[in-house]
Amino acid sequence: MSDKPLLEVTDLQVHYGAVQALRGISLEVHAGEIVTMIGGNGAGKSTLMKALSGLEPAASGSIVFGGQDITRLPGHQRVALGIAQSPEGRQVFADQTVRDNLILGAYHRKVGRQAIDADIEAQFDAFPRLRQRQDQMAGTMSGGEQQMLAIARALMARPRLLLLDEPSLGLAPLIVKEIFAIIRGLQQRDVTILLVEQMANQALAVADRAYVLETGRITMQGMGRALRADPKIRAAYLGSH
Amino acid sequence: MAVSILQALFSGLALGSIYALVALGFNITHNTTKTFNFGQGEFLVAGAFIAVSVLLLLAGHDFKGTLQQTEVTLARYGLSLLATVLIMGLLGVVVYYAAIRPFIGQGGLAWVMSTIGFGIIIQNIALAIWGPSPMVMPSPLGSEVLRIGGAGVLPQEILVLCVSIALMLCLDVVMRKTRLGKAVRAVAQSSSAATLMGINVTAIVVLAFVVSASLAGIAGLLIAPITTASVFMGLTLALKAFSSAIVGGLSNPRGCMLGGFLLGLIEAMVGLWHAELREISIFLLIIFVLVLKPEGLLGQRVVEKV
Amino acid sequence: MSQYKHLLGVIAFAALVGLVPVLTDNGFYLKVLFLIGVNYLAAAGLNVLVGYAGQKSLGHAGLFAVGAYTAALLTAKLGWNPWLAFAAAGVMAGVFGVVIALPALRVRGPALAMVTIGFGVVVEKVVSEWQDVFAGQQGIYGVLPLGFGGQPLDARQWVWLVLALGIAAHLMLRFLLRGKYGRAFMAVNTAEVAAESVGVSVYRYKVLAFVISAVTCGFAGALITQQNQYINSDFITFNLSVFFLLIVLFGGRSVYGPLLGAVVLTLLDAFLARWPGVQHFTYGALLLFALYAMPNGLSGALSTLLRRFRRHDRRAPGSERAPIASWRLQANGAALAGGEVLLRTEGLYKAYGGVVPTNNLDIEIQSGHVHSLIGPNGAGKTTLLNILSGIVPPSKGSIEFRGRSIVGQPVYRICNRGLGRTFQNLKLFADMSVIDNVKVGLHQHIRTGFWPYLLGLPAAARDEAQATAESLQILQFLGLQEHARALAGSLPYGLQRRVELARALATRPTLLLLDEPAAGLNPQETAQLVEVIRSIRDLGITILLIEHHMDLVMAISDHVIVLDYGEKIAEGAPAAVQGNPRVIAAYLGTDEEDEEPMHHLAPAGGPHV
Repeated sequence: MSDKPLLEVTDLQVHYGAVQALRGISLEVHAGEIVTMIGGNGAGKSTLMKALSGLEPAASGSIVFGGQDITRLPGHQRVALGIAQSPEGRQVFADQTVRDNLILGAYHRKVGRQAIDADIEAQFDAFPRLRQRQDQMAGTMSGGEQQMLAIARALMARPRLLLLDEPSLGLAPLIVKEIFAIIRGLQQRDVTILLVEQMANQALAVADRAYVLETGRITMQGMGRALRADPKIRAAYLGSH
Repeated sequence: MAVSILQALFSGLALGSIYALVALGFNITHNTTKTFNFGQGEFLVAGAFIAVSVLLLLAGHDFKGTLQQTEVTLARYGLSLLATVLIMGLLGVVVYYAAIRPFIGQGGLAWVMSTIGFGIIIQNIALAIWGPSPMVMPSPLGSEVLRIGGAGVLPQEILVLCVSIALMLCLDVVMRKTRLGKAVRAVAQSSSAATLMGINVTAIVVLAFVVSASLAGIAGLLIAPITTASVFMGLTLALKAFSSAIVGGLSNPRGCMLGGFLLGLIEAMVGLWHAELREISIFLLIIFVLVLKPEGLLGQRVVEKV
Repeated sequence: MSQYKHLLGVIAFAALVGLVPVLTDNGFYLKVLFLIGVNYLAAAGLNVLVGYAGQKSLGHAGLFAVGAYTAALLTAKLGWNPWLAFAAAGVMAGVFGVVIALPALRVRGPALAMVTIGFGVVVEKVVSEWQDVFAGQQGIYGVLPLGFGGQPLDARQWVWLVLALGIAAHLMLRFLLRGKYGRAFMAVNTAEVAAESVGVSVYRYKVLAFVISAVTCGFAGALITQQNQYINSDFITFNLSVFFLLIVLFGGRSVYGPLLGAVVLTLLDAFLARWPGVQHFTYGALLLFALYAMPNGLSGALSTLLRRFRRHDRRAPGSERAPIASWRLQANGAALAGGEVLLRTEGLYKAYGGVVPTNNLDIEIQSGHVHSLIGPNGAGKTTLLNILSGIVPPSKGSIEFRGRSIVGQPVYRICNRGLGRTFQNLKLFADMSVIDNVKVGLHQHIRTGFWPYLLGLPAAARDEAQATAESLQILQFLGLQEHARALAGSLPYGLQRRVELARALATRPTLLLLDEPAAGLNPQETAQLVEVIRSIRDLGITILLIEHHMDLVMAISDHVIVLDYGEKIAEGAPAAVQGNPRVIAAYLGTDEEDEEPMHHLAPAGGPHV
């Protein structure tokens, strides 16, 4: 119900190597919402996620989180402020166990072992399959399980804003369904989510609001359900007839 | 015959543990930054000489001179170890900022040359301070030869073995069980994913270099009593340590340790048979391993992303 | 610089330096000049390895030793003619150059540097400890010096000899490095994978670079030995290897770098000889200094300075202004009739651990057509291209290109057969000029070999001129001819992509693989790209491209193949594929409401769940 957005991005420009990947993006996310950014490949979705988490520097523009300008803040300090990400391709720590991955997710929190363990138990309650595999090396799990782990690991940081970068990437349709059900469930737990996705249909079904990204620019925005019916969405992905 | 083999076994293991320590130093920085300090040998030498000077100072002498056996007690030895670790750690920070960080990610191998240059500078500073003649460091455990199974073993060799193994076990535990160790392994796997966890990657990397430099310094301190510790011994030792890493697998800490012991043993055994073939045999071993399994015995194949 | 001007310069230089022994009798000065020459020789060859091919070697003291001891042993122990022994020293060093290069097949970068250090140390140990043969520190006396008619050369004649050798080396290496060999070395240095993909055998060129550097180092060693008439193991140290490397790094990569480096460092060395401690310290400091302040060495710093003064003095337009003929693709082997199968894969399968990016693919590429490969992110498209071009070996399955299997062939050989490609993440030779990038693409078609290039024979010059002409034609074909001399890395992104395309075209491919050619292009550039691809097809080149820009795909393709989870889920004419519900679902994801039974969309094999 807050009026001030939790995340406010203004005219963000980011270069990725020699290419200008983001050409002036403005968006906002309010607390409690699920906002999605959809777009085809090369649109700049992952670059946006990296810029928000501080992995790529902003050439110009601003990122304001919870009223604080974090545009120049080093990435690792943004986690303490309340931004956590499940990155593109999961990037779980393959040679460490599921449990260790979760412990790492809470790295920035200065709490004792017991608090961490309690949180891990809570994550296992939400993701029972992870409990089964808690001592297994993360790299040996399936794609879907790794995605669950990546989300749980990000939640271990107790973030105010959860960034999800293409959670459906490389996953079978059945698993994608499961993941989106999980995402829907997260909203009920009062987690604010910015979701970047290639699978437009599912993303728009689960989101409150949506933006469409094409070659570094936002070309459309609106309510999730409304955009879903719009034929321009299909054209953005499959080209015009 | 069996006696000399046993003797060679002990000295080989002791020597091998030194190689293992230095190899671990290579492993830690290589895993986290894909670079390592080519001047590691000079760090080893510096460690040895700093320790000798500290011992001399503790005995009330000038920092240069000859140590008497009685002046080297276990307690003082421990203190000199502490001093070495502190100073070498600092040097590790310096080498990172001076020779590695300016050249990381540039492609090319400028950091190879800069660390070599840095090593040469360290060597010559050491030369200027301590001179070219070997420094004598008596062992804190005395020079009386022990007889184990008929073989003559220096107590220092046993000390080297014990301390090295203790250190390696310590590092292994830290890497596997502590929060910090997990963070280091996270940085080694992916520095961007580690940043997403709130890990300060730069701080971890600096720590890696501090540990690596300290390991080299400790290795120098340990080996000084059982070898002629001169300013010039660094390069060969570093090469053998690196060879151990190659044989065991540069990316795997346990591989580096295994490689170190293996190399030490082979060197001792070949030394028994034909002393002058020692170095060549190691070189041949490297070629052999490189041809058959280039990533090392316990290493993993790195697939290049295209 | 034109050939004549350069030759004049060399003659003038020779005359100047040659005059010094006439004017002075001072033994010290003559010795220093001699040493400069010797160091120059060693550095000139090492520059090829370190500066051009980018392989850092710290073991060249070992190769110096091989040359030195070969000359010593052959003359002192076996009584050989000193000139023959001198020649043999070079040959022996070359052989050892191959030895030190062998690990280059298995290790690269820092590990290779370590291996070269190891080589140097082993040689050092061998010559100091194998007393019977090498006499260690005591050394070998009675080495026969070079001379004429029984008289050894005197101090002045040594200077003249070294001058002559230095000039010969300079001229030969200059011929070599300005032509296809120099470009190949630099390509290997900058982007190995790209070099292989345009037909340069990376391994072969690494070995060649090692051998060249070994030979000159060996000659340097023989010269020192035969001038002193003595050699011992004290000469052979790691510091010597560092010294050689320092000359090269300090001097800079250009052809004149080793000379600048040799002069400065030999003088420094002589000056500091009284204080060996300071000497070595200075080398360490100079090394760091060179890396921080002068990454391109003294010659690089000087040429930047000169460029500032010569800013308005453009290259004589000359040949570029002359009309360039339009490019006719020279067929690579017998041409195939349009519509015939050019490439066929059967049951192609690749698995990495738990991931299966290529799952049982049967694909046919027809000659003369433009094929597009589309599919969502992670569908395995780039993996397929990597398998076809030979960068990644398939786990199972067959690939037939022009009737012959290419599975297991090295990348450069597949390029020889007529398969060219571009990369999704640009792999240009960024610090070479645009036209040089294209000439590397022509590499495999330049027939003249090593010796004609080294000796500057007319055949080499002819081939170079032809390569220049054809490269300009290709550049014109893509509208890039004005940028021919520009540094490839300095161009805007869209033009850089076109340069990579030009380079791939230069390999005269029958089949061209394009990996996301429109990535990062704005709509205007994308429209231009459509035209370019059409004209390439009109030349008779078959194209397979990966793309996400659907408009591009629909506009240009004759045939579209859709991948998902490593499998082919649809193929056909563009419009048909666009309307295919399975394709739509793969791209957009399924709709929640109109749920189709999931099982027929699930992949046939592979562990995805």
